Amino acid sequence: MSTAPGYLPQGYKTSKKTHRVDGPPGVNNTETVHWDGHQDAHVRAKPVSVSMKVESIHNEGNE
Amino acid sequence: MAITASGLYVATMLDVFDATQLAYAYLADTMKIALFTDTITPNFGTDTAYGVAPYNANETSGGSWAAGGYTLATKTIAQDAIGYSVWDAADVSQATCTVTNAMAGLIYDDTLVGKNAVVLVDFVTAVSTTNGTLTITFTAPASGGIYNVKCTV
Repeated sequence: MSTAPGYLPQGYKTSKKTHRVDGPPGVNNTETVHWDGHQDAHVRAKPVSVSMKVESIHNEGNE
Repeated sequence: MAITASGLYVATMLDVFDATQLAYAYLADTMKIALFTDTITPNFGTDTAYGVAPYNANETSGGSWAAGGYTLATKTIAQDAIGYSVWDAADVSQATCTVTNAMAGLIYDDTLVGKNAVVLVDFVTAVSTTNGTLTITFTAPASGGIYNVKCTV
């Protein structure tokens, strides 16, 4: 059997194969299929950002 | 009918501040993330809770991922270097689960009787597992966490 880098004999099963789920640029969710058929998934969640604008502040202070 | 964005639920936020005085306590309460398919259409202005439309159908669960979702651990609230308040938790990792076309995670307060919805995290692309591990990586607090709020004058 060849020992050259990248050589795999016919019928050889790699242990797993990961693919990026098709989507827009910047989204990098992946799924990994293992040789025995089970499948993992990895979600890279982006943070949810919210801004609140305060129109005015009335501070009565201590009286 | 689709999930097109992440967002905070206004009804819940209003109930915290208005006369309802909703006792939403992120750190103390049990916060769960439930998975939904792209079939739902969220409305961040009017949606209220897990178990209430549209979150009363099209949830995906299976194997070790129970309906109702996964309990978030190691929750934090902190202020980042540029003044945002950041809500975060440990990444989700659940082995031996089977979920199909999970497109978003609804984070809700499972301690409150109303199961009030807090935030929807849009995955942008749907993912599936087959008796495998589902991992959801949230960004570090310094990069925004799960969600963050900035108040400006």
